[in-house]
Amino acid sequence: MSIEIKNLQKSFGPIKAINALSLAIGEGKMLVLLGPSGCGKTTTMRCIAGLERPNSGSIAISGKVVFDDSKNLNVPINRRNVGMVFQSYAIWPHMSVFDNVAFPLRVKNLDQKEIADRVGDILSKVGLADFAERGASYLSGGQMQRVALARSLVMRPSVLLFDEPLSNLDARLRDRLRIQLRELQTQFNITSVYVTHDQHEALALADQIAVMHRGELLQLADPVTIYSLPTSSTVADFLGYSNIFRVAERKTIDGGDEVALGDGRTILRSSGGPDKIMSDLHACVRPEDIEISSWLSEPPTRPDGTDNALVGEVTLASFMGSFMQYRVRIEGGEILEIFSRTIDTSIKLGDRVRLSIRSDRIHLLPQI
Amino acid sequence: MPRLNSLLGALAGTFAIALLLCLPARAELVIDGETITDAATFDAAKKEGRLLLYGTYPGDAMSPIIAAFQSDTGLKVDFVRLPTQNMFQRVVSEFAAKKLEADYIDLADLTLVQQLIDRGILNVPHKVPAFDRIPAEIKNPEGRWYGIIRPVSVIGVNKSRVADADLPKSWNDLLGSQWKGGLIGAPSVDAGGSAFTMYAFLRTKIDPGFWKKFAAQAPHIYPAISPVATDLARGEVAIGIGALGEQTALQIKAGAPLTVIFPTEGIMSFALGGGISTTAKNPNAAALFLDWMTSRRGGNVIAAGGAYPANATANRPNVGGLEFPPADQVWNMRIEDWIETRDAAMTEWRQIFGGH
Amino acid sequence: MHSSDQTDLASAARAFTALILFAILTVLVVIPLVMVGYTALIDVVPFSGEGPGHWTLDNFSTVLSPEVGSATVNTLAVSFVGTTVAMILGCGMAWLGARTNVPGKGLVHLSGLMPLFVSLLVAAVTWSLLGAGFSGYLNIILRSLGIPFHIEIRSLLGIAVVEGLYNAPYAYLFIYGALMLVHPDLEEAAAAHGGSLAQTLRMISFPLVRPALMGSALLIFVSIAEDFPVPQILGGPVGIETLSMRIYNMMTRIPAHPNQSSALSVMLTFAVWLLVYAQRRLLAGHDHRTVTGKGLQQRIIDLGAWRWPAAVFVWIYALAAVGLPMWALLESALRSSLFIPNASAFFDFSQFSLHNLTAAAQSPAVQEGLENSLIAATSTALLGGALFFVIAYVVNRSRVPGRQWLEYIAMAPLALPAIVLALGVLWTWVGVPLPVYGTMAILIIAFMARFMPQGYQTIAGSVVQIHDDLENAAFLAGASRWQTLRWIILPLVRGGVIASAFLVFVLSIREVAASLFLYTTHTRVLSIVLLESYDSGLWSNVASISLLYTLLLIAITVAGRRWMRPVI
Repeated sequence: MSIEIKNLQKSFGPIKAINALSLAIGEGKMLVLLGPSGCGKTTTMRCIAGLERPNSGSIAISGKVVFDDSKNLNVPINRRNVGMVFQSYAIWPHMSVFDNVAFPLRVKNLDQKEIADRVGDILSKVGLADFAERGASYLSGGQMQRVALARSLVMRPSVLLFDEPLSNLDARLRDRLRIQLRELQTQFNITSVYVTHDQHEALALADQIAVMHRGELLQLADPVTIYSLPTSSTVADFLGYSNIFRVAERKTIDGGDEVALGDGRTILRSSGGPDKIMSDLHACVRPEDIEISSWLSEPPTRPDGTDNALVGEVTLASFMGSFMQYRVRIEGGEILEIFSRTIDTSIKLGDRVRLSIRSDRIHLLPQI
Repeated sequence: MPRLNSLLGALAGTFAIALLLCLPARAELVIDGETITDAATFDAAKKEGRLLLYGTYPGDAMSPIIAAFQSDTGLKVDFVRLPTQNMFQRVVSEFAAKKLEADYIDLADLTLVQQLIDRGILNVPHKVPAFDRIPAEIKNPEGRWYGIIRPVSVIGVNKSRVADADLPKSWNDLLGSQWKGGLIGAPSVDAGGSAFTMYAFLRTKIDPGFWKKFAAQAPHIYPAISPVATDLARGEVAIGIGALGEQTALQIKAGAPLTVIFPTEGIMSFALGGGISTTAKNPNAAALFLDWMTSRRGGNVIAAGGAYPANATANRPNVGGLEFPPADQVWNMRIEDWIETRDAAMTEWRQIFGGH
Repeated sequence: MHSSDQTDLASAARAFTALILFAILTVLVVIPLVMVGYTALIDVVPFSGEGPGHWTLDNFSTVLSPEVGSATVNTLAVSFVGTTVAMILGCGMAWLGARTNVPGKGLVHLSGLMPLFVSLLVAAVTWSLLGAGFSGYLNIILRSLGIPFHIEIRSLLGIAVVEGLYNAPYAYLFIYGALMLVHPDLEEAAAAHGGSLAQTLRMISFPLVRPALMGSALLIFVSIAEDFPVPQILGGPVGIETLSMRIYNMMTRIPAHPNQSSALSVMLTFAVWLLVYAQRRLLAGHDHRTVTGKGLQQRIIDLGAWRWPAAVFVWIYALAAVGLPMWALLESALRSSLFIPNASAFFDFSQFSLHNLTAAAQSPAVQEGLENSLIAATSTALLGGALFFVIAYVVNRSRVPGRQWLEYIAMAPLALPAIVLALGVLWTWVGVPLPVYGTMAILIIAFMARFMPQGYQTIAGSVVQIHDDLENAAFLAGASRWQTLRWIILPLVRGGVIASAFLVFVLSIREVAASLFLYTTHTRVLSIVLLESYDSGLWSNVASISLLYTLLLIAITVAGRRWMRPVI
């Protein structure tokens, strides 16, 4: 295990930022910390870097303990060999690109030739070979981010940390850079931790995703698992399950459960519920798991009688390019969100539509 | 052998005379027929060679005095000048820290001079050769201090603002209604010894109610005497009173339309009291300085700068052709009166003139 | 090295740093303050051989007289109006110079700084020459032109305006530096959302440089409140007394009241501490860090039709602050008579002669004074620059325990009138058996304490604006704190450090009051030589020395103005 975090606690005054967090990341893997603002993901990352000092717990990087309060051990920032790409890039404006990237090597007092070689090599790998002599304050956002990355890579760190590095970039650049980041990370095989609040980024980049909420770890799993099998409605919410409804009543039936939502008017059949009895369940459905058809057309085919059929009125119909986004108010009063790959422009605002949800696509999950 | 004896005797005698002639002559300091100081003091002072003065007389007025002293005696003089109160503070602090190196100290406030004596800072009795030619009010009976320089307060007028026919001739003339409303400039009583003695004189010798009447003229009150002289020269005020004779004379020489008036009731002087410091490194040089300053010779130099000297037989002050009244017509305040009346008088003055 | 030793070493290093800095500041600032406070609580002057005296609180009550009441009102009036004038002038010039295409930028920069270098004593004296109600040069000209209007600079308003004129450079320095560090996007965003120039200024640019605004406003307010020469010279003759004059008068009048004077000083100090505290509370919690390493190419605003009026504004300011006083000094130095009958006499060259100037320049006192001034100023600037930077860094960038107190102490001398600080320094060192008293060293010590607030604030402003990440990135890259300081922080604050050292240099050269009780014959600085001439009323001398003095300072400014641009 390349990073091991055990029982980490960190408070800022009365506020508990990290609460008994334990995590491990394998060598060469990319762990993404995902969660809303204030969930503790950035604080956790800063603890790994040494920029924050936890109150208790332990952190080990590549087998070496860098923090352990029971032994009063705290390796200073500049001895952890951890690279970090900041959200603000933190490129030193008074130096050239070359000088920025060469800095970690100059600090180690390597000789000029070796520095020139390694810096040149890294700059080519990030595609900035021609920019070496450019003043750092004359770069675009994307270029600066690549310089920041190069600066971290050149020091051959044990761990690479990314603090929401793409949030200040435009969408296309974000995609390109994200792909490049992942390529380089796998190429160099550096254990990485990446902090973001964007689930798409998380799903695309991660080997493992840790969903955090209020300082605690909710679920740690690979992207596919986390996406298809969230363990709580909070996690589901964060992963884009935009249809989450409180379950008022639950009845066991043949092959699953029958649940009544909210004020009881909507009844759904689900096969994705927990075995034991739980109190605060929520029904969670992904928008792409709902099929929509217009009232007048043929009802969708019904495989195996496990469908839920609902009727409602369109409150939003948005063309998103590769899919349609709909919002439909069903008879029970709830509003469902639907993503449909079928571009059917005949379904418009105000139309009556039929919705169909397979019972195995309705997850019954506790809140936490 | 008698011829050999007398030859030896003659040789011995010649040798002795030659020896005597080679010895340095121990001479007094005599200038213009006046013995400034005795031989012993002069000799010792020359051996010391230098003198550190802590004084309050303005630097440019002191320079010609120091220059004359240096050329007469061959001593080298260092002059540190501070306003009286600052000088007092500095002297007292240095003395307490045992770092007072001044040989001679003077202050323009006799009460503070008395304090220095009481604290043992100025407490060296020294009777100068000219002791008997110095009036009693301006010396200490044992010679611990002397009023060596005595500037006087006069009336100055800017003739661009006052016609010849309207020139005031007396202190009382200043109370006339035509001078109301900021036309007269005067120093505050806090400006120092010169201002205090002037106001004391005005109340004591001219009119007990002078202060109230003068205040009713709404004069411009300045924190020190120099700004009065300056504003007078510029014509900002038409009349100025105080120890501004010397500055005004300089301006007259430079072409300003000013004139100095010695009021008919008389003028007053205030004394800079100076003495030898008890921690002096060069006490003989300091004694020589006192001797010189109180001599007629020194007095003449001081008088040429516009102030009365201590020595009654020295010249009257004469600046730029303007001759001052004879010394015996100048009113001096006794140190005892000064100490006794000062605090109450100053408080009263401040009340009358409204917090200046 | 054992990893666990690292933590202990780090905290030991921090504790050690704290100790050294506190020790230095204690000697420089706290002990003189304590001496003043001590004097306020006893009934004799310390070290005057009068014995230990008795403890008493009487000084605090006797000092609260009606005079103090009116002095307080005068001080507040002058300070508020003066600060307003200074901020308008300084901020206006700073913005024009940093962000617009006003013509003659070089002059803007020079004008923004030069008035700093006219000593306030000289300024008061020249404005007295220029603006006295009857015989002021400007009034003579107005009379000659038949204009039925005259200015009376010897008034509360006059004092405030003169103070504002000559304190504007503080605002200029601060705001200029801050504006150069603000991210241009922030202003462009305002413009894009429909903000007019005025609105952008009001709602975006200036709020962003708020630390600089508040810092300079506070500094100016207190500097005016405690200033002595201007109210003394312009207010003294007309019966206006301010608190600084009251304190000075209580010290220098006969009989003196040093204990009451100290009591008043203690109260003033306390008031200013409250101001500083309030300012910190106000600014806490706002992230003004806009130097983020994202690159800052400053955006130049086109003033359009306002270009030339703006330039004229600058020129009028330069004229008022420097041009007119210089002319007054020339007239005064070249003529032997103070009296000027009418306007044409200004140009009567037959009255002019170089005699006064040459005599002054050749006088040994003046030459020695100049030498001493340069020595004192250079030493203070170098030692001070280093010390203030270390304090600014420790306060804003480290985890040294008690660092907030370092800042409070560093700012404390603001509240102490120079003359009281000088006394405190005197009483601190006069009894110490080291060769300090009577040497240049004691002057330098007094100057370092006197200018600590200004020097510290200038540097701290730059340090604060540097984003944490820039430093953290260096640590992560393996740099030690020292390496980070040297390669990252120092180059980025270089502008601020140089500006601070330069400011301290110039302030030291023009300082008068702080030298007053501390000099001896051969450690007289030029300002003291000037003051002594003033006390003697020898105007040609005063004017000549002032002229030479001012020319020296102008030469320094022109030479140093390159260093005033922050390096980013």
